[in-house]
Amino acid sequence: MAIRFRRGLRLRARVALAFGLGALILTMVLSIVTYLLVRDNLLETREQSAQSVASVNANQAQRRIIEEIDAGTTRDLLSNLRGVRAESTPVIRLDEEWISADPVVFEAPGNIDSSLLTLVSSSETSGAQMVYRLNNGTPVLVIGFPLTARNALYFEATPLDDIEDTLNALSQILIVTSAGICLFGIAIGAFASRRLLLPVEKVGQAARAIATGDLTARLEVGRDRDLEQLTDSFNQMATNLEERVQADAKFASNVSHELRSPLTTIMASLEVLKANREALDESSLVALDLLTEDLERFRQLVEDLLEISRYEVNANALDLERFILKEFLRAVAIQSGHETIGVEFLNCSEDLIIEADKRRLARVMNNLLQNANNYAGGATRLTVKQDNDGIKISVEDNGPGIPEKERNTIFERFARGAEGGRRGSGTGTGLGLSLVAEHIKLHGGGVTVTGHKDGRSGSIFSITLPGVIK
Amino acid sequence: MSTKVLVVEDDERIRTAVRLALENEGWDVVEARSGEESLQIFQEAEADIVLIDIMLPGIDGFEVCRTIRRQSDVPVVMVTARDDTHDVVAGLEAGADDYLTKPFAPKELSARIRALLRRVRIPTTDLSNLEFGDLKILPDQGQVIVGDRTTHLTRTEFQLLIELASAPGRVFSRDELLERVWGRGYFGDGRLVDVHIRRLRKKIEPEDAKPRYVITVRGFGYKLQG
Repeated sequence: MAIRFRRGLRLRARVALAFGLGALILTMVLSIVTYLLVRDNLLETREQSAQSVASVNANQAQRRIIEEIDAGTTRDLLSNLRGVRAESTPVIRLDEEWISADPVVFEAPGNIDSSLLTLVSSSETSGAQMVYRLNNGTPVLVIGFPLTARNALYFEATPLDDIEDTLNALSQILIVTSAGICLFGIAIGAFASRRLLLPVEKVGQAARAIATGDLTARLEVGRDRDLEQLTDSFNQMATNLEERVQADAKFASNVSHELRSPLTTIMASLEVLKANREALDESSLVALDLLTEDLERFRQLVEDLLEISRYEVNANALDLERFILKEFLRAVAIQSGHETIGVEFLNCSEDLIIEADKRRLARVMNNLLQNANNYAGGATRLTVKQDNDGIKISVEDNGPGIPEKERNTIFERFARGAEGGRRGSGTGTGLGLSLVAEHIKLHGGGVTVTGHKDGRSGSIFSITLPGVIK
Repeated sequence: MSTKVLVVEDDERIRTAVRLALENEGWDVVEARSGEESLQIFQEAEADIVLIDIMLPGIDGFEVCRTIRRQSDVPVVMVTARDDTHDVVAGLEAGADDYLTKPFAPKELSARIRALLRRVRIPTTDLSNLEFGDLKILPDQGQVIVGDRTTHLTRTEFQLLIELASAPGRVFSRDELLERVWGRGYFGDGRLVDVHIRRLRKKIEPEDAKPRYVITVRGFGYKLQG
């Protein structure tokens, strides 16, 4: 069972964003409510006062227009009604003639909404009001009353631009505040998630320690009840894993003992037989040679299997030491029966000293060179190339080569090339190259096989060892 | 008189096969079936070299080795069926001079025995000058004096010290020491050197955690500081 994690943003970033988003939504709701309340309140107050002023003014106008008739006195009346502060603009229709106290601010009848005009004209006594924008953009509250004499109508326009300014300022403040709180929310979220994720980080560290082979890594049991379960199950898992690995290691070592003991007897007995060759007849000698050859192969197989089982239980650590590469490669070449082959240093000094696990590297080189012996009639070239602080060692041969499609699978266990099985003495165990891959992987490097560039048959096995030049 | 090899091994088949193979190589072989028996035979038989299997019923190989070490410098080869570091190092720390992993070729075993039986070679020409502070080496008597007391070294430990002392201050690589002391080829096991150095330090250093004479040169090897 694998636990899937959403790809993309990291958990911490997501928590922070969620906090930010939450804060944003909350402040936005609050802001909108605040804005609406303030707006309604301001408008209502204004409307009420305008309404009462207009109604008083309309009554006064009603009384006056019975006496006064001409346009000049009407204008005086209007400016009287307007008052000193000129907060609103009264407009009057008298005998189909429109007179505005200030036609620049509010011109009649052009600035009177037609539906309002209809509404007021058709009503008998009560007035009507409407809020709308003039052509120049100013919001106004227009209140109208029908007057009983001379087919007169009374309107009073109150500009609302100050309220609009207030509301604009308010909305700006609210937007800025919302953004600020949102950012603050993100910061809080980031901080909180860091605190919250601290235990997760510790779990991560412990898991990494286990993954790299330290099976004794455990989590500290903290005081937090919420984390106790995680800590307990993690530690339980680690303990199980450790026991399991130990059991595996024990099994491997038991198997190793059981296989190695009879092999010791067989090898020693065979040695005795070989020392007494002259006492054996011809067919016994052939049998003895067969036995010797296959015993060696069997011994190698047991060794390889044990080496692999050690990989499986992860009981592997590099035993690093410094050595002169040329000396080392000469020694492996001789060991694998390549006395005549030279080591070519393509772009670096022959005195190159590297730091690596000599035993493993010897195993790797030996396997590659033995492979060349077994399947390709021996290696033809052994080269070293420096690459930054790493090296690349290549073993070339002129054998049948490895078909392109097998080049990836050849490093898997028991994967012997189709060609390989038939050629040579067939002493391979099928584990050699997979061990090469494992040993090199442990060094942080890689192994590849290619063909010759000029198209002739043969293979080039190359291993890369990064960071071995200190 | 031919060389007598005491083979301590509980598995009868291995014991017999190894005996036959060693006799073929020209050695005299005495067998012991258990740790207890081996200690008894060791007293009587005066073996020149002892081959001990680690996994023995009763007294195990490590204990046999430690017991023998308390009485004698006879070269001891440990035989282990596991080549993991734990067994090898524990065997060497119990006092073994060398180790072999099963399955081994009898010829390899013979080569080890020959290397261990070789008399201590003294490479330096100037014998009188082997004195380093409180450390005095008397090659011809096979003795080492630290301060005013004589310290007892096994033959292998002594050979190792002599090799280091042959060129004080020069760094010897593990390979070099393996070749000079154990007669190994290029691919010997460096743990052999490391554990013997540790054993040597325990015997000659005033404080083995802070060595004064045998110094580790990390990644290269060891040197004896004058």
